[in-house]
Amino acid sequence: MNMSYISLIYLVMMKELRENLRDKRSVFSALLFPFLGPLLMYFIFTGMAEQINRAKYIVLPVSGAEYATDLIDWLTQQGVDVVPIKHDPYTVVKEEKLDFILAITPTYQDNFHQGKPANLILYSDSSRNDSRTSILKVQQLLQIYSGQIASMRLLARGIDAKVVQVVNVVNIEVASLQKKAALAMNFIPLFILLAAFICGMQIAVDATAGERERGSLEALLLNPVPRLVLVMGKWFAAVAFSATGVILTLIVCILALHLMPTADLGLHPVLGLREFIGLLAAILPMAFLATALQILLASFARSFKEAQTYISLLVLFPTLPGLFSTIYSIDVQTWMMGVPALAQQLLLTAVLGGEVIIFSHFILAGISSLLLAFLGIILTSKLFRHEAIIFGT
Amino acid sequence: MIEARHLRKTFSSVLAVEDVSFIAEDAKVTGFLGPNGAGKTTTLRMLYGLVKPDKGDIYINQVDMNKNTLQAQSHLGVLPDLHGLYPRLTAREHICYFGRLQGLEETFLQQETEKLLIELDMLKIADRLTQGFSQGERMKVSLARALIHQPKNIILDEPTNGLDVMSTRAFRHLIDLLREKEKCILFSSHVMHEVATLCDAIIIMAKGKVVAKGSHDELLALAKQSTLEEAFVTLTGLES
Repeated sequence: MNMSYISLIYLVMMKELRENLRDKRSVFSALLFPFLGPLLMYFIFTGMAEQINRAKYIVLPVSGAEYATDLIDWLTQQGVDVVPIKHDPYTVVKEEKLDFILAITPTYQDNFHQGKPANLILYSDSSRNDSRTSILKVQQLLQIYSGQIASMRLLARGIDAKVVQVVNVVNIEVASLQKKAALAMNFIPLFILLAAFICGMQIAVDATAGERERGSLEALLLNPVPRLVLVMGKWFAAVAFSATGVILTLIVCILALHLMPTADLGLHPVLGLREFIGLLAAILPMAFLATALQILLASFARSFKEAQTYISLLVLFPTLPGLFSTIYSIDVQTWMMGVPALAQQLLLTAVLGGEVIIFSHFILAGISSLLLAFLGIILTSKLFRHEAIIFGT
Repeated sequence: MIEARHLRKTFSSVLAVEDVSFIAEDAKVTGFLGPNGAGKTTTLRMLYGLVKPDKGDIYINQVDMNKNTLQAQSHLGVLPDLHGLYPRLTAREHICYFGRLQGLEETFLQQETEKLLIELDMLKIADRLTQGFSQGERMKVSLARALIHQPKNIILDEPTNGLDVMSTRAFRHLIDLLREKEKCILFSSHVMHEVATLCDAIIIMAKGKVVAKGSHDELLALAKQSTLEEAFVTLTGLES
C-alpha cells in the first residue's frame, strides 16, 4: 500500500478517535462493560465461597449441655462450636431468634448408662433454607456418634460391630458448589468475547450510520481519497476502542480472579503474564472482526437507530459457541479454529484452564478472523460507491 | 470549467434527469434555477461524482469525471445538498481535516486556514465545537472546508437556504471574492432576485431538462418578460 494511503488512514482514524473521545457516552459505554462482567463474577463467587465456608464450620446452640458432657466434648473435637443456651429451645426457634437448637433431655445421662436410647431433640424450622446444610451436618455427626457408642457396647458383649452394619454408604456429592463455580468460570471467555463486540460498537455506528445521518458523509466522500482508505481509518478507530475494552476486561478479570476466594471453591486458575498474553493473542483478532462486521452492518442501515438494532442482534453471534460449550463438552478439533467466535471461545477456555497451548491453533484462529474482517471492510468500501448507501435512500 | 454533456439518470423507474448539457465557465457565476423536483440536485450530484450518470459525460477542467473520478473531484470544491458537520470538532478542525484529506502540505494548510478564517469572518468561532452553531456559522464552516484546497471550480447546492439577512450578505460578498479569483462558480437556488443580481449566466431546468440558458437579459428577451421570475414561469411552462 502507498505510503500516503497509510498516513491518510491514520488521519481518518485519529479524527474519529478525537471526536469519539470527546463524546462521554461513547467513552462510558466502552469503559463500563469491562468492569461489569468481572464484578458480577466476583459477587457470585464470593457468595458461593461463603456458603461453602458456612457449611464447613457449624455453630450449634445446645440447651441442657450439662446432661451430656461426653457428647459435647466429642462434638467440639469434630470442629463444632457448641454454644450453651439457657432459654426454652422451642420458643427460641419458633420466634426465629435461632435457626436450630439441639436440646439434651435431663434423662439423657440415666438412659445412656442403662443402655437405653438417650433422647435428643433437634428443634428446627424447615421453612428456613439457610441452615439446612448445617442441620444435615449435625444430624450426620449425631449418627456417627451413635454408631461409635453402639459398636463399643457390642464389642463389650463380644460381638463385632460389623455384624449389625448391613450396608456401608459413602456419600459423594456431585452437584457441588465447586462444580457450579467451575461452570461460572466458563463465562469468563464469554465476557471477553462480548467486550470485543460491545466496546467498539458506539464508534463503529457513529463513524458510518452516524456520519450519514448527520449529513457529513457526502462532503467527506468528495475528497480525493479512495473509499477503502476512509473505511479502514474508521475501522481502525473502532478497533482501537474494542481492543482497549478487551485489554481492560482481561486485566479486570485477572485482578478479580486473584481477589476472589477461588481456592475455597476448588478452583486454581493460573493467571500470570503468560496467560494474559495468551488470552490477548486469542481475542485480539476478534476486535478486528467484530468492528468490521459492525461497520458493514451499520453502513447497510438506513439510520442510526436501525444500525443499533442490527448491531445489538450481532452481539448474539459470539454468545452462541459459549452457550453451546456450556451445554455440550466440545472435543476440540483443528477445523474449529477456522470458525470465528467458536475458535476464540475454545482458545480462551484452553488458556484459562491451563491446558497445553497449540501455537498453530492461535495462528489459524487469528488468520481466519482477520481475513473475514478484511472481507467485510472491502465489502463496506464497495457499498460506499452505491448511491442508495451514500444518500441513505 | 465545468462541462456537462447529455446527462441522463433514472432511479429505478423514475426519470430524474433526461438530457442536460451546459458549460459553466471560469471567472463567471452560473446560476442553476429550477422548481423542486426539476433534477437540480441529481444533476449537481452527477457533476461532483457521487451519482453515476446512466449516459453522458462530465469534464472538470477537462478531466473526465467518469474515468478519473478522484482526480476530477480534486478540482472541485462542493457545498453538497446535505452539509452536516461533526458536532464534536471545532470549526478549525473541520477545515484542517478536509485540507489534509486533500493532501495539502502542513505549513500551507495552516496559512490557508488562517486566510479563510479571516475571509469568512470566522476567527471568533474558529476554536469552538460546532455543536450549537447557528445556520450561518454552519454554512461558513461547510464553505471553508470545501474551499481549503483552493479548487478552481465551485459547486454550491442551494447555499442560501435557511440563512438570515446578514449571513446572506456575507455569502454574496464571498461569491464576489471568488469571482475576482477567476473561479468557476455554479450554484443552484430558487431565490430569483439572488440569481438575478449575482449570476453572469443562468441555466433554467425543468422536468429533467435544460429549458433555457443565457444571461439575465437574454432570458428576459427570450421569454418576452420584464422580470426573471416571470421569465422563469414562462420558460419552465409552470403556468400551463
